[in-house]
Amino acid sequence: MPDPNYFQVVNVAQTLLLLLIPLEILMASGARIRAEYDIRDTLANVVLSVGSIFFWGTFSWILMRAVNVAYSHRLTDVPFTGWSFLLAFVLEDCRYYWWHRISHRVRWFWASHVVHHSSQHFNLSTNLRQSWTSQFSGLILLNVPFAYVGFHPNMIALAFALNLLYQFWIHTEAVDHMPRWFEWLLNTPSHHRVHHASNPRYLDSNYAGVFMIWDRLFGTFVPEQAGEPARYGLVTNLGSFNPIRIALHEYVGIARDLAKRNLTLPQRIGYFFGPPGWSHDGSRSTTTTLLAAEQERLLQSHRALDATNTPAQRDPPHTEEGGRTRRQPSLVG
Amino acid sequence: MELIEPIAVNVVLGIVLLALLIWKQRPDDARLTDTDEATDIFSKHYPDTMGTVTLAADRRSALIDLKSQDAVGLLQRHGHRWNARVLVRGEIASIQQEPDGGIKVNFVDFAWPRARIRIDDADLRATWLARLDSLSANHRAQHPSDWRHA
Repeated sequence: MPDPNYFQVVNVAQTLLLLLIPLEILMASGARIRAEYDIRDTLANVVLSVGSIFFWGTFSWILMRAVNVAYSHRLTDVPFTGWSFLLAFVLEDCRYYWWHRISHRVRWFWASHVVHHSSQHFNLSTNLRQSWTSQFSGLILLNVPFAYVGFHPNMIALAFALNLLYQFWIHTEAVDHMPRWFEWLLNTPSHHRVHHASNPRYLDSNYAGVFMIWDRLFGTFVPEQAGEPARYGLVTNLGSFNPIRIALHEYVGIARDLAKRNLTLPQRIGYFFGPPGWSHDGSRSTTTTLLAAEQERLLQSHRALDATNTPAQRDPPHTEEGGRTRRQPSLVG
Repeated sequence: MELIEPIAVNVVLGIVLLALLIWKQRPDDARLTDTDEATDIFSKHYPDTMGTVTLAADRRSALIDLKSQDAVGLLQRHGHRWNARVLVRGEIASIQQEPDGGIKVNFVDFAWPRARIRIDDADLRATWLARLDSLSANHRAQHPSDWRHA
């Protein structure tokens, strides 16, 4: 089992990383880096962080109980070595990818995770904007199988903490791009800007925590396009900085939808477990319909371009760097 | 007890950030320069939806006539960003006319509770009041002239 001192190191690192937030504000005010802060947005982030720590800490026994029960019935004992920890870290990152992907694609889980995406700003303080309900949604139980296999609960916790620690620095506009190999292998500010964007072509992409290989492997990788800056926030943004409204708004939305009269049981289930934006009468937009509309607009603009320009006059189509990509931002190629 | 330390760190951080932002942040004085700018911003959120724009007197919000009786566009400053929304029937909880020419719109949406749009022109304001009222959950079917005297 990992030495408890490792957790002490992680805690100190977390506190030190928080100091980067005032540093980012100071450097941005001197126009030395790109970062935009809004006082009410940032304060909401801090209050949401305090609430998140409180609820996480108060109810962490739910997860710990589940992990301990699974560990007591473990299949084998995985020793704590460098290699086994590396394996745990990679597996934990894969778990994070699927947790994240499900959190975006199922409304009940999105109701918890939406909090983190609700800011229209993208800076280091966005890290603080965390859910108050992650312990209750049930998805946290994805951690349990590792304990059943035989990884010690502390090893799982350490891998989880390091994964989150890595993700701190990617919430920034101050870093443009990292070296090509780095961008290919690891999550970066560029990839995460895309993840936090509400532009249709960027929606539901780049779920990775640390390694981008999961997005490349499972077809959800979308690179940042120079011609399309990220528009941060939600498809339908919030009109309030009140942390309680931010933390609970999607649950209120679900409750209101479920309270509608004359819905069938499958329709009620759809409002609960369907993708965000799903509605029984098709009156709202999901990622799929938004992407289809975007593709149609691109198609029409290409047709218009074809009708007016010679091929040489046209802009070259955007091409993507190596690796499997989910969607081609341009319809050409 | 374990929670006190991280919560205290966050509270101290919040105070530091508050002080820094008060010291360093420029005031948000963004205003819509004209109806074209409002149309541009709105179309980024709703590319397929166009209409005729009415700017609010303070140019911090705008209403957009979408040529559909069942929907109205709204653009509003929120912090340092512009929020856009297409309001459809049932999304407005209530409307109040204020003495200074403001229209206070209370939304059904828990995440966007209200908006305030000041329109100085009395006729235009009455038209918009009637239009917004027609989308409200408690539609009273008033004629614009009724709002003029409300």
